[in-house]
Amino acid sequence: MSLYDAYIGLLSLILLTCLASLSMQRLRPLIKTVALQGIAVTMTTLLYQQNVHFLLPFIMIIVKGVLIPMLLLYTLKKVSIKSEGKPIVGFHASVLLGILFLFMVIHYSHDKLSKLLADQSFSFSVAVVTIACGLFLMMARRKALTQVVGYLIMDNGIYLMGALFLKNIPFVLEFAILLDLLVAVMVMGIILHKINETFNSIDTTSLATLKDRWHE
Amino acid sequence: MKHLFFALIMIAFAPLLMSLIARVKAIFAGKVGLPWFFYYHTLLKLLQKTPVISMHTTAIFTTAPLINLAVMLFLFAFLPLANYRPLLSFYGDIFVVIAFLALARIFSLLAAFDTASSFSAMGAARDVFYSMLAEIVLFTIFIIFFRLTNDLSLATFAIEGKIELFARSTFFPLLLVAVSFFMLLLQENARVPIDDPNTHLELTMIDEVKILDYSGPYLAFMQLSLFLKLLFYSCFLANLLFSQSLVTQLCTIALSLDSNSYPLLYAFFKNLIFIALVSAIYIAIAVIESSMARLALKKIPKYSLSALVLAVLAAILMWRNV
Amino acid sequence: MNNLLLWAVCALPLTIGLITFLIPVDYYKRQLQHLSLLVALAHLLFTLFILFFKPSGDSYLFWSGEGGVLLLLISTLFLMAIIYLKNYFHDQEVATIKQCHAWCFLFLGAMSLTTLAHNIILFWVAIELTTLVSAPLIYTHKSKTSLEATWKYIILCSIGIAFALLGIFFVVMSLALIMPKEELSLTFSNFILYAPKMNRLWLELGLIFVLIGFGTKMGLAPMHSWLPDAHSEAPSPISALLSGALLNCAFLGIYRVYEIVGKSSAGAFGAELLISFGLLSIFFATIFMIRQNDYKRLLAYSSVENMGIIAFGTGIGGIALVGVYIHLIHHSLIKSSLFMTTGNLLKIFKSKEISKSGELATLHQGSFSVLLIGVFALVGGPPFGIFFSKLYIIIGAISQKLWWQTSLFLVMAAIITLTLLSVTFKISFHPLERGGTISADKKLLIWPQLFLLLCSLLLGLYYLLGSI
Repeated sequence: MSLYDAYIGLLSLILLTCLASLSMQRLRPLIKTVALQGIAVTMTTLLYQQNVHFLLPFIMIIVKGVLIPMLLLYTLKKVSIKSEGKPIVGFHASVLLGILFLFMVIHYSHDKLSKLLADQSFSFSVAVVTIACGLFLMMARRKALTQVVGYLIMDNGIYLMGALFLKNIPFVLEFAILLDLLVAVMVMGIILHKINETFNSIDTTSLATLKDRWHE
Repeated sequence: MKHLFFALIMIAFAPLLMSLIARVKAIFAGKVGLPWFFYYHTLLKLLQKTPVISMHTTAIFTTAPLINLAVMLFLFAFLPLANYRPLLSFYGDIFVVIAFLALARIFSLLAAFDTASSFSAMGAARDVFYSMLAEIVLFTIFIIFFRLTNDLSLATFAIEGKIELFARSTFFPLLLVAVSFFMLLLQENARVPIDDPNTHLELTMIDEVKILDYSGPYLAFMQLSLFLKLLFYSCFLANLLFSQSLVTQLCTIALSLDSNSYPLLYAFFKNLIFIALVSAIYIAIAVIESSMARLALKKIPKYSLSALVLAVLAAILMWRNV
Repeated sequence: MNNLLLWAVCALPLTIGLITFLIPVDYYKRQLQHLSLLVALAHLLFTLFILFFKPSGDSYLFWSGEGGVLLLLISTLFLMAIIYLKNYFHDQEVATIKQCHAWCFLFLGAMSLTTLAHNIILFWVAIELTTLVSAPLIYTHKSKTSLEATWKYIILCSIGIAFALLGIFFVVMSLALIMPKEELSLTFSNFILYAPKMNRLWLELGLIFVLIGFGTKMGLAPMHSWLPDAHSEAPSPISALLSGALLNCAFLGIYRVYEIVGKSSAGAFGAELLISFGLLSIFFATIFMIRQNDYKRLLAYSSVENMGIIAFGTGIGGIALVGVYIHLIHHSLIKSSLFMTTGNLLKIFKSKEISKSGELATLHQGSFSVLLIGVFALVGGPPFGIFFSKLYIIIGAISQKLWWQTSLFLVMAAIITLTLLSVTFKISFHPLERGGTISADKKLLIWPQLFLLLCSLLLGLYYLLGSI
C-alpha cells in the first residue's frame, strides 16, 4: 500500500462522493457526503504539497469536515425540510449525466491535454468533474440548501485543482481562504433561515418572482 | 477430474451454507437458530411428498423446476473453483452461462404466469424488471474483465492470474468491482436489501412469490436451484477474491507446506481456504440481512444505479491505467 | 509608520463594525449615528494621508495609483451615503439602523482592503468578503422581494468569485512554473516583475477565468442577472454604494490581472474578450432599459451599461484606458448621486414604478434639479466627466480601426440617452393623478448629491482646462 495507492484511492473516493451527491434525495446524508468529500480533498492536497505547515491539515479537516457540516445540519434542523422534493433534473438522470461527463472529461484530458498535464490528468479530471458536479447541483435542484451544498462541492473542486498545480502556497493564505468559506456558509445559512421564516419553505421556485416590469 | 470432485462437494454444501446464513442471523437475534442439517431434512421431506398441481396449469409448470435444477447443475461445469480448470471452458462461455441463466429465469417466469395467480404474475413482473437492471451491471463487469484478460471465458477470469485483487495497479478497481458484484449478487438472489426471503406478505415479495404454488418434489427442486444459484454467484465472487499467490504464500509461510512436496495436503488447504471465502460471503449476506431492512420497491432502481456507478468507476480507474 | 496607515484604513471600519454588532440594541441610541459620521470622516482623513504620504507597503497591503484613487472615491461616497442614510432612515427602528450601520462599516473595511491589497489571494478574500457583508445590506427592508434579491446576489456572486479563484490559481501556476523551488511571493508587484517570463498558456487560461469570475461581480453580461434585482431592492444609499464603489473594486481585480497579461508574452490576449463582454453588456442594458417601468432597475441597467463601457475601453487600451479611468471616477460620483435621488423619489411617490410618478418639477424642485443634472451628466453632457471619458474611448476605438464596434457603441449609447432623458422628463413633467399618497413635505436631502455632482463638474472642468 504505497502513496500512489492512497492517492488513487482518495481520488476515487472524491469521485464517488460527487456521484453520490448527485443521486441523493435526503438532505442529511448529502451534508455528510460533502463533509466526507472535504476530508478526502484535504488529505489529497496533503499528498501534493511539499512543505506543509503542520497545523493546516487539522484546521482544514475541522473546518471542512466538522464546522461547516454542523452549521448546515443546524440550519437544516431549523428549516425542518428533510428531502429534495422534485428536482429540476431527476436523480437517476443526474447520475447518468455525471458518468457521461466523467467519461468525456477523462477522454479529453487523457488524449488532448496529455502534454500539458503529464501524469496528472486523472486528478485534473477529478477536479473538473467535482466543479461541474457542484455547478450542476446548484442549477438542477430546487432547495436552497442544496444550492449551498453545491457551492461547497464546487469550492472543493477548485481547491483540488489549485492544490494539484500549486505546490507551495503560504499557510496564512490557505487559512484565509478557509475562513472565507466558513463565513460564506454562515451567511448563507442565516439567509436560508430568513427565507424559511418568510416563505415557510426553502424551495427556490418561490424565489423567482422578481422580473422586469414593462410599461405600455 | 479434480474440478468435478470439488464441484460436487460444493453442491452438496449448498444447503449447509444456507443454514449458516440462518444461524448467523439467529446470533444477531439472540437465538440458537436452525439445526445445521435443517435444509437437508426439508429437501428430503419434500421429495417424499405428493405434489399438488393445479388443474389450470400446463406442462410448463411441472417442467420449470426440472429445467431450473438442471441448468444450475450444468452451470457448475463452467465455473472455475479454487483455481481448478472447469470441465467446460471455451472462448465466449460467459455468454452461454448468461443464456442458460436467462433460460432458467424464462421458465420460472412462465411457470409463475401459468398458475393464473395474480400474485405470482406480479412477482414475476417485478423480477423481470429488476433483473433487467442487473444485467447492465453484469455486462459492465464483464467488459472490465474482458479489458483485463482479453478473453471471454470464466476460466481465464479466475485462473490465469490476470485478475488479481492484490496486484498493485488493479487493487482499487477490483475492490469496486467486488463491491458492485456483491450488490448484484444480493439483487439477483433476492436477498435483503432487495427482497426479504423470510417475508410472507405477498404484496412485497419478489422472488419467493414465484414459487408460491409449488409443492412436494417440485418445491424441493426449485429450492435447491435457488440455493445453487446463490452458491454460483458466491463462488464467482470468491474466485475474484481468491488469489493464487496469496494462498501459496499462506501455505508456505504459515504452514511450511510446499505445493511440490505435499501436493495432496496443499490442495486440501487450498480448497479449505476457498470454502472459507465462500462461507465468509454467506456470513456477509447474513450480517447485511440482520442489520438492514429491505428497501422500498421504488428505491431498487437507485440501488442498481449505485452498483452500475461503482462498476463504471472501476472501469474508469482501470482505463486510465491501460 | 506609513504602512500602519494602510492597516488602519482597513482595520478602522472593520473594528467599528464589529463593535457596533456587539453593542446591545438598547444601548444604541439614535445619537450614535452621528458617531458613525465621525468614523466616516476619520476614514476619509486616513485616505487623504495615504494619498499624501504614499507609503510603500508590505507584502500584504500597498499603495498604488489606481488603488489609491478608488480608495478616495469609496471613502467620499461612503461619507455621502452615511449622511444620506441618517436622513433616509429617520423613521426606521433602532435595531434596523444599528444593523445597517454595522454591516456598512464592515462593507467599507472590506472594500478598502480590496483597493489596498498587495497579495493576490488577499485581494480575492477581500472581494469575497465584500459579497458576504453586502448581502445583509440588501435585505435591510426585510421584504420578500429583497430576500429573493439577496439570495440571487449571494449565490451568483459566490459562484463567480469561486471561478475567479480558479483563474487566480492558474495565474499563480504560471509564475510557479518558472520558479519551482522557492517560496512564491504572490504580490502584484512580483507578478508584474516576472510577467515577461511567465508561462503564457496558464496566464491566458487564468485571465479567462478571472474575467468570467470578477466579471460576474462587476456586472458584465451575460453574468449580470443578479445586478438589477440586487441594486433595485436595496435601500437607496446602499444601492449608491453598491453601484458606485463595489463594481469598481471588482473591475480592479480584472484590471490587475489584465495588466499582468499585458506585460507578459501573451500581449493583448483578452482584449477581444473584454471588448465583446463590454459590447454585450451595453446591448443587454439597452434592451432592458427601453421600456423599463422601474426607475431603480433602470439605473441598475445603466450601471451594467457603464461597466460595459469600462470593459470596452479597457480592451481597446491606449487613450481609451485614460477614458476608462475618468469613467470609473465620474460614473461612481454621478450614479451614486442618482441613486440617492431615487431615495427621494421613493419617499415622494411611494412606488418604484415610472408609470406612477410624475410632476416632480412641481412637487420637489430640489430633487428635480438633481435628477435632471444627474441624468444629463450620466449620458455624457459636457462639461461633466463622462463626456470626456466617452470621447476618449471613442477616439481610442477609432484609432484602432474598430469600425463596427464603435458604430454599435454609438447607436446603443444614443438609444440609452434617449431612454434616460425621456424617463426623466416623464418623471418630472408628466401629469399625475394625486391619490393623496403623494406629498412633498418631507425632509429630503439633496446636498450630498449636489456635492458629488459638483465634484464631477469640477473635475470635468479641470480636464477641459487641462486640454486647452
